Amino acid sequence: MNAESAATDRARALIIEEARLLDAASWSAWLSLYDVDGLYWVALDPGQSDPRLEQSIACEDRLLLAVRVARMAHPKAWSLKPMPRTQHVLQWPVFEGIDPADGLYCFRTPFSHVEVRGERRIPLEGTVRHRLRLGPQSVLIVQKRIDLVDAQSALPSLYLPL
Amino acid sequence: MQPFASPYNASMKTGIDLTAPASSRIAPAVAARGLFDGERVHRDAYLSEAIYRLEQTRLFARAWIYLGHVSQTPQVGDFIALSVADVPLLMVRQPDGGVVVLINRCAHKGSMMTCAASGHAGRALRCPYHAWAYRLDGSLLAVPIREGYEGTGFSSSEASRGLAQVASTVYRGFVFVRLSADGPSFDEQVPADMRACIDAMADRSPEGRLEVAGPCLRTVIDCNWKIYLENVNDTVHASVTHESSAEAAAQVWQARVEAGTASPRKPMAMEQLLPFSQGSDFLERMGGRVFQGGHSILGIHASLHSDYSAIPGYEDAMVKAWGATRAAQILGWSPQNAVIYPSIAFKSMPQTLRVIRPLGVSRTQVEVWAFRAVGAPDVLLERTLTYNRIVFSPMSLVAHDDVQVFESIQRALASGGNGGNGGHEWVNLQRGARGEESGAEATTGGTDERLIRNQYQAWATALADPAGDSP
Repeated sequence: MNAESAATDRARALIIEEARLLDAASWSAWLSLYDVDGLYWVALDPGQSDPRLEQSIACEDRLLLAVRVARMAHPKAWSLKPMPRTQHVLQWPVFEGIDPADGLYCFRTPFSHVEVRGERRIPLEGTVRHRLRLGPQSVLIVQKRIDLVDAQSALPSLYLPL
Repeated sequence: MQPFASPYNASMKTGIDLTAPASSRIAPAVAARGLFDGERVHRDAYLSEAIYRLEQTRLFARAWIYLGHVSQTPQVGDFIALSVADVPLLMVRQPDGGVVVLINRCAHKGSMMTCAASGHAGRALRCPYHAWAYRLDGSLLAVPIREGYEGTGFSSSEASRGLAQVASTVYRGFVFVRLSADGPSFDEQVPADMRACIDAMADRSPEGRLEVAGPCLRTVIDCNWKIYLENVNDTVHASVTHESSAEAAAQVWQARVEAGTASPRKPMAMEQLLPFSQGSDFLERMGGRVFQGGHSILGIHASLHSDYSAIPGYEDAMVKAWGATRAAQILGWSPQNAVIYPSIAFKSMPQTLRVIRPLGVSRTQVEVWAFRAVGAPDVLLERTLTYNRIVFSPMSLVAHDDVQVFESIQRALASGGNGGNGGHEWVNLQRGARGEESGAEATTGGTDERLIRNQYQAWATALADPAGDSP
């Protein structure tokens, strides 16, 4: 196995692990996958290039992700009663190369996903693009961009991270 | 997702079968009069299909409803398409720079001219069914097989008049429509103080000009539209419903401060989230003003937006553009919400606009628009976009708790308790209700439910008025 193949295997394992942690509601462990400059981004427009100066469905740095995770445990987070659950189903994460500008590993993973809250069931489909920073012992998310197929449809509340 | 299906029969309160379609115009109108008694709203107002239909014809078809912004159609021939009160409309940019609003229905056989939400028509609108073509103002340009119409009297048919135009008006770039042919003008229906709120938003731009910033966020909620619009004027829920969001933000920020990892300047997101914990004294001091027609301004003295930090260079640009007095006036005015009843709620800081579009008696779509104040620093736009994501998006950190309350209201109002447990029939809006309220202009405290009662004064008046009903 060459070095790049070993690296992409480690990166792929992280993408799978991230989905598992979300479905297991292991929020703190999920948050720890993001690097200090990590960004969680749900785009509104497929052609969108700027997460902050164009309207996005979500665009959260570590600070806001930490707020989201802290709220999960808050006894008065009314909309999380009953606690929703998710199930991610990922396609094989396709390695799209290493960004020469910053050395980040880029992956593209089509997915389907369902969020269930009580009797309410929301199916969603889309593609996630990860930009990952690989160290000797670590793989961390620098950016996770999600493009939903129906991002510009009128969406119901999506209570949990995709 | 399926909309919530109510088992509820609205005839129970009124003795009139509100679900009956025959002669339905009279019956629900009579019934509607009993649904708001000045301080309470009967649950039928939120649950009855017949009342919903009456709202569409007597309120949404007669009021000036927000359609879109001129910046969505920058070039001649650009259009946007959307429905108001179930009527499909096209807003089209004209060669003279203005916009017209047309019914999106071919005069020939009724096909929609386009099913796209936006696009460019070129110099003419062309029907995808039989190629009837219309000038951008809707007048008929050409029909295929013209000789087929010779000697048919076609020129005197309504089809020859082309696509019907709808009354529209543009105020500071905001396009409003009135579906009914007759009725008050925009200036007659929307008071000067409300128009001044639009001015205050537009004048946050040193050039006095706003542009939409990208597509809108759209969210759909399984509740009656009025539940959403009431909440826009409800300060008291903030610290209760949103306690988890405000406390989670405070907890995360405090941990960073104690660990010495907090940024020297409080991040924008924290400036926006932390004020949700404001107590009732502050909320009362915010103050409000209500106007005839259901319009209102909440936060005439202060709001949760009042303490946003200054943006370097922006104030200087504003003073240069508007002079010190007007600039101070614009920058010092940041109400919580201005409502032009019944379709929009907006803020001058951040520059955000929510459009409430009823989809059915128990289903409501909310559009959330961000505006760029032309000539202002990008950070102003970033503030608006951050607010929209955190507070209004389908993945919001705040709105989730509103939405679950709205949807639970819709479900619970439809449940039993009618008659036997009398209290369940009514939604109570008595806070601050001391004496007769005519719906005329007045100043209120920020926690006074008059801000909501005023919406129902206008609602009841509109639903009781048969003028303009089609025979």
